Amino acid sequence: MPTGYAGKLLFVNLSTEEIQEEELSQELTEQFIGGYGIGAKILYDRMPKGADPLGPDSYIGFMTGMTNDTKTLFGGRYMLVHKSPVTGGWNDANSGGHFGPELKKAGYDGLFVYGKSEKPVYLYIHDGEAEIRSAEDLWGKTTKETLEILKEKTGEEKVRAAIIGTAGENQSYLACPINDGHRAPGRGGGGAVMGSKNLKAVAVRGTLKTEVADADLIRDTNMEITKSMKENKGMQRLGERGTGGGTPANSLSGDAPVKNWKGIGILDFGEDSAEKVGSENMDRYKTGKYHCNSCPLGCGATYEVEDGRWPVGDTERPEYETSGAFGPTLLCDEEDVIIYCNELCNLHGIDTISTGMTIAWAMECYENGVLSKEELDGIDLTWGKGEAIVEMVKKMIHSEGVGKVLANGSAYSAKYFGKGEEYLQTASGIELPMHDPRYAPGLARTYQFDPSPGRHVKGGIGGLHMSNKQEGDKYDYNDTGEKDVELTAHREVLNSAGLCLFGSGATPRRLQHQLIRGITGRDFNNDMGYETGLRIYIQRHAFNLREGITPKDMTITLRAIGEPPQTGGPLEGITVDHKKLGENFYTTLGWDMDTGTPPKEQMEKLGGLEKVIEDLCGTS
Amino acid sequence: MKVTVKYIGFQPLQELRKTAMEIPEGFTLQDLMEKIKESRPPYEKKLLDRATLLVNREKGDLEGTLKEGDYVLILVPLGGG
Repeated sequence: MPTGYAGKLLFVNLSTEEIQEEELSQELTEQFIGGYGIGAKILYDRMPKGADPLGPDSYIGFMTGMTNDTKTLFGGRYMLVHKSPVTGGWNDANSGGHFGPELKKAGYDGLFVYGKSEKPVYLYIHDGEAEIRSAEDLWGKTTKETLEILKEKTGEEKVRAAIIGTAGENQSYLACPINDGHRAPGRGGGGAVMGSKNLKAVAVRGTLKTEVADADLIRDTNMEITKSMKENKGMQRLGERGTGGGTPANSLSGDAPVKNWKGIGILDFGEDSAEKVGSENMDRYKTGKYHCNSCPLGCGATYEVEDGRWPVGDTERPEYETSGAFGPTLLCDEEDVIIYCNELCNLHGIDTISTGMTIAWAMECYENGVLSKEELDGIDLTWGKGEAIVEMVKKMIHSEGVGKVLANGSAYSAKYFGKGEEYLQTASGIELPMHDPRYAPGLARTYQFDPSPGRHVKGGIGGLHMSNKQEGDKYDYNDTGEKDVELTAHREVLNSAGLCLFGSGATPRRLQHQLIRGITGRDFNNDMGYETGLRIYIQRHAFNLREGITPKDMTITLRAIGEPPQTGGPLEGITVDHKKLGENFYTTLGWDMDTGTPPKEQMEKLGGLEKVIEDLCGTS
Repeated sequence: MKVTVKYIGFQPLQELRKTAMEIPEGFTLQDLMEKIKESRPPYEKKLLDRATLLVNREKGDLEGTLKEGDYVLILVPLGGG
C-alpha cells in the first residue's frame, strides 16, 4: 500500500448494485499524486469515449487530495471529476470542508460511481464498508435537511456528506453537490451527473488512520507554515474577513465583472455600493469562524441573519465569487439579496458563479429587448432589482418555468431561445468567474485553454496578474510561455495534493514538496513537480481531445479580452492579446495548436500516458 | 493645495481610509504615492505599489499632475476566491 494513502479505490455500479474495491497502486500515486490527477487517469482509462455525461456510462469520481488525513495544514480539499454536461468534456471541481478527509478515514482514496440506480439512493461508506441505501425519503429535501437526516439514519453525528438538492435532482447543468452545508465543488455540472444516476448523496464516516512516512517532517513543516502564516498580513486578513473582504476593491479596480462584463465598476456600480457588498459590512451578522479540515486560518464564517427581507437565520458568509456574481455582475448592492441567494444555492445545490452569471445574461437580454418579460415568466429582470433576482434564483433551483432553461446555464439558454448569444460571457460554454482578464490578462489563457475551462483557480501567469505580483508589465505578451507553463504544471500538483490555494501564501513550493516527502517517504523536488504536473495536465487535456475538443473549439467571449475595449475606468483601452498568450503557451509545451496533441516523445518520456499515446498517436 | 485620498483594499492600511491631504502645486500622482508610502512599513509599501489608482473616477496616470480638489482612489484587490 502506498504510504500516505488509504490504499484503496471504491467502484460502485448503480445499475447492478455491484461494489468493488481496488488497490491503489504505488505507480498511480507516484505518477498522478491524488485528487483530479488520479481522477483523470481513472476516468480516461475506464470511461468510454462519447459517453453521455448524464447517461449510465458516465463516471463521477470523488477523489481525496493526497494530503487529506495526514495532519498536513491546509490539506483538506477533495475534487469531483466527471464529464461536464455543459461542455461535453473534462470537468474537475474542488471543494473544502471535511468530506475528503472523512472519505479517506473511511478507507478510500477515491470513490467512482457509474451506472444508474432505478430509484433514489445514497451511498454510505464507513471504515472499509460501503452500502447502497434508499434515498426515496430524501429526494426533494434540501442539502441541510438531508445532512441532518443522514446523521439519524447512520447513527453518526459526525457523518459527512456530499449532497445534491433539487437542482441536481432535476439534472440542471449548473447543479453541484454541497458538503458541510456550504462547501461545493461548484463548477461544471457535477450535481446533474449525480442526479442523472439518482444518487442523492455520498455519506462518509471513518475512524481509520492514514499512515505517513515521516510524521516528524510533517510536524516540522507545519511549524514553518504556522510561523509564516502568522507573519503574513494578507493571510491574517483572510482569516478575519474571508474572500468577501475583497469584493469592494475588486468591484472598483476592474478585477470583478460589472453589469455582465459590460460595466465599469467606479462609474456603474460606485463606491458606496461596492462597500456594501463586502464582508466588512456583512460581518455584522457574523457569529463565528468556519475552518475547513486541517485549516489553521478559518477564512469562512457563520452568520445569523434575522433582519432584511429574507431573514434566513443560520447561514454562512458568502465568498467573493458569490458576492461578485450576485453583486456587481448584476448591479445589485443589496446585501440581503446576496446572503439569501447564497443560502438558496447552498440549500438546493447550484453553482453560485454560473447562477449569477446566467441571470446577468438574461438581464442584458431583457434590457435590450432580446428576451421579453413574458419569456421571463413576467419577472421584471432589471439590473439591480433584488426581488427579481431572488425570484429567478428560486425558479432556477426548482426548474420552474423559464428557470428550467436558465438552470442549464447561459449558453444552453441562448441556444434554447435561439437568441442572446452576443451577450454570453463564457469560456467554451462555462460562465466566466469573478476575475477579469482585462485586469489579469494571463487569465485569458487559463480560461480558454485549461481542460476545465473558465476557472480562476487553475495555474498560470494569470494568478500573478490578479495580485499584480508579476515582474514587468502584465500587458507585455512577449515570452509568457515559460512562466505560464511552469506555474500551470506546479498548480496541478498543489491541487491534486488537496492543498488549499489560500494556504499557499504560507506553503510555498519548497514546503509543498517537503510535505509530499513527509507523507509518502519518497523524494520530491521541483523537477519532479513540473513533470508530474505536466503529466496530470496532459491526462486532463487528453480527455477533451479524445472527445473531439481541440484548441479551435476552446473559446472565450469578446468582452473578457477587451473587444471592444472599455471607454473609461481603470481598464480603459485595454485589449488582451489572448491569441499570443495561447500560442506562447502551446509553443513552450511543444504542442500543435491545430490538433492540440502533445508530441508522442514527450508523453513517452513522462510515462503513465500509455492509453493516451495509443488513442492520440496510434501506437503505444 | 488639497486633494482627497481614499483607500479601499482587502487589507487595511494604517490610518488610511479617507483623508484630505495637503500637497504642493505640481505634485504628480507618483509624488503623492511616494508621500503616502513614506514612513509606512515595507509590507504596506509593497501593497501600495500594486494598487490600482483612479483620479476623479478615471484611470490614474502616475505622471499626471494633480489639481486642487482631485479625488484619488487607491484600490488593493484580493486575488483569487
